[in-house]
Amino acid sequence: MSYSVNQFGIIFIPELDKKNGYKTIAYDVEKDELIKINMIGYFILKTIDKNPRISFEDLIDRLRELEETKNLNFLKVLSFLKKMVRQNIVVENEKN
Amino acid sequence: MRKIEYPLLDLKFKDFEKDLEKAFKQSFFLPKNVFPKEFLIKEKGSICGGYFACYNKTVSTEEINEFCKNRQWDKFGQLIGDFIIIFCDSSTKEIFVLTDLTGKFPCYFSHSTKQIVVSTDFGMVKDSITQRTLNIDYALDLFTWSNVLLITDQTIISEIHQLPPATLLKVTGEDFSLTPLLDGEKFWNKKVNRYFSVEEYTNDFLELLKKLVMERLEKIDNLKFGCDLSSGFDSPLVAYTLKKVSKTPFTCYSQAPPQFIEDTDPKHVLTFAEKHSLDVKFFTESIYPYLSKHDLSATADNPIQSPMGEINYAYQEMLSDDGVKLLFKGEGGDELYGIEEDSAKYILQENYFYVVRSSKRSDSTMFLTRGAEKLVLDRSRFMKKKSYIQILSETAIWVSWFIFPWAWETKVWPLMPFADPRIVALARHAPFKNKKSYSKQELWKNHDEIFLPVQFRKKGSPVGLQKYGLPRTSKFIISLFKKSILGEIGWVNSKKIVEDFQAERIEKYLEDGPITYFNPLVRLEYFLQNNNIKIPNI
Repeated sequence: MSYSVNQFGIIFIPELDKKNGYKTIAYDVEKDELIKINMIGYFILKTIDKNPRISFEDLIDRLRELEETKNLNFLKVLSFLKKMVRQNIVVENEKN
Repeated sequence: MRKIEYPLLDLKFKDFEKDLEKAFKQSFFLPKNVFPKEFLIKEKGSICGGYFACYNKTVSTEEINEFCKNRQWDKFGQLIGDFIIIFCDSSTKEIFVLTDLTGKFPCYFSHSTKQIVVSTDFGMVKDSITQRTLNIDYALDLFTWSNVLLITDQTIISEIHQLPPATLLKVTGEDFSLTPLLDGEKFWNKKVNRYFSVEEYTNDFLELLKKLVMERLEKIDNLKFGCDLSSGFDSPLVAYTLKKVSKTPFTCYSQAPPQFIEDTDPKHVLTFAEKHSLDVKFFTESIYPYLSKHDLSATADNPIQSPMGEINYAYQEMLSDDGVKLLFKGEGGDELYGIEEDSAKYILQENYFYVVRSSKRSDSTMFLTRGAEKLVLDRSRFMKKKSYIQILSETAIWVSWFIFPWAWETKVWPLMPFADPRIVALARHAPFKNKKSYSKQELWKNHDEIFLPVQFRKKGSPVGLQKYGLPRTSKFIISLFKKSILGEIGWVNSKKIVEDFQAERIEKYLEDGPITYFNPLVRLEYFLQNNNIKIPNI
C-alpha cells in the first residue's frame, strides 16, 4: 500500500503557507467541500506530495526527519491518512 | 477617434531628463466629468489632478494636493470615496498615481524603457504601446473566470499592469513600484465577535446602511439620482433605505427583459414598489452582446467583459436620457453574506480550488484541448500568483471595474453603499447558526416591513439572456472559430465548436456551467483576432 495526494485537493504555496503558520485548506473534489488542515497535517500532506506513491513506513521515516513532526505518533498519522482518503485528498495505491 | 474620451497620461522617459512639468502638461489629458468632478492644481514644481468624491470626510482638492506634496499617502487609505489622483513632482522627477479602495476607477498602466502610459481605459493604454504579448497565465484564468476572484496587477497583455485599489504607483523614470495604501491583512486578522441576535445584527445593519446612503446624498449636490430595483434583496434594500432618508423624490429603474425573469420578475418589483410608494420604470429590451457592434468593439479593447455588459450599457443610456446623473445600486451586497474568517488567508488556495471546481462544472473538455486543460489546472501557476489583499471582496471590486466604462460613457455614476469598508467590517460579525453563516433569506425573514414573502425564495441565476442569445449568434461563432488563433496554438477544439454550431448541436453549450465559461472564450478569441498580440511559446 502506498499514498499519493490528489493534486486537485491540495496546493502548497511556500511563502503564503509559512505566513499562515503552515495551516492550510484542502478541497474534497467529490463532496465540493473545503477542509481545514492543521500544521501537522500540512507536513504529512507535503511529504506525500513530494514523494508520490510513498509507503507508510517511508512516510513515517521522512516525517521523523522533520523538526515539526519528529515526535509524531504513527497511529495519529494513520488516522489522519484514513480521514484524508475518505475526503479524497489522499489516494491509496494498492501497489508501491 | 473614440466618441468618449478617457483620462490619459502618455509620457516619454526622455522628458524626465528635460522639463518634466512642461512634458507632463502636454501629455496629461483629463476630460470633464459630472460626478466625481475633475480637478487640476498647477503649482511651481508640481501638478496634481484627477477625479475626486469622498463620502466619509470633507476633503478639499487643496488638501489632496498637500497630502501629495507631503507624501502623506496613508491619508488616502482613510478616505472612503470614488477617486483617482495623479501627482507629478517635477523637482524630484517623480510621478504618483493612486485610486480609492473600492475600485470605482480602474487604472491601467504600461511601463517600458521608453514611456509610461496611464489610463482608466485598457484600450487606450494598449493602443499607446508598440509591443503587446499575451499574458499566458491571465489567458488561462479567463477560461474559468478565476481572474475575478483575485486582485493582482496583471492584465491580458504582459506589458500592461492594473493598479490594484488603494495602491500607490510611483514612477521615477525607468523604475516603478506599487505600494498598498491599506493593510488588508490587518483588517482581516482583527478578532471577530459575532452577534448572538439576528434581530440586533439586522437592525444595526439597517442603521449603518442609512448612514452610508445619507453620506452619499450629502455629497451629490442637486444632481438627479435614481435607484436600481430588482426583485432580489440588495437593490430593494437600498431603495427602501433611500426612500426613508431622501428628502428629494427619485425614480427606481428595473432591468426586466423577459429572459431575466428568474432574476427579476417585474410583477414582484411592482408589488415592492407599491408597498413602499416607489416610482418605477422598466427596461425590457433583450439585447445580446455578440450581436452588438459596441460590445465587440469593447471586447476588441479588452476581453474581460461582463456578459451582461451590453444590456447594462443600454440600460444606463435609458437613465441618461431620463437626466439621471447618479444611480444607487445594490452591488457589493451579495458579498456581505457568508464572510469566512479565513478567506483572506487562503485566497490563492481558494482560487485554485475554484478553478478545479469550475473545470469540472463547465465540462471544459467541450471547448478546451487536454493540453490546455492541463495548463489551466497546473498547480505551479497558482504558486507564482501575487494577490493584493483587499477589504472589499474581490468580486465587488471587479463589478466596479466592469461598471466603469458604462458609467463613464453614459455619465451615470454608480453609488454603491454596500461597497464600503464600514459595512464589510460589520458583516464580518454577522451571527452564526451551528458554526455556519445564515443565508440572506434567513437573516432578513423577520423584516416583513421591508420585504415581500416572494423575496425570501432563492432566485435563479441570470443566464437567461445568454441562453436566449447564443443560438442567435451561430454565424458569428462559426466565422470566429473557423480562423481560431486559440485553435492554432492547440488550446481550443475550434473544429468541434464550428461543427457543433453548424449542425446546431448546441444544447450542451446552453447548460448553466458551459454557457458561463464559453463567453470569456469567445471574447478572448475575438480579442486575439483583432489585435496584433505576440503569443509566447508555451
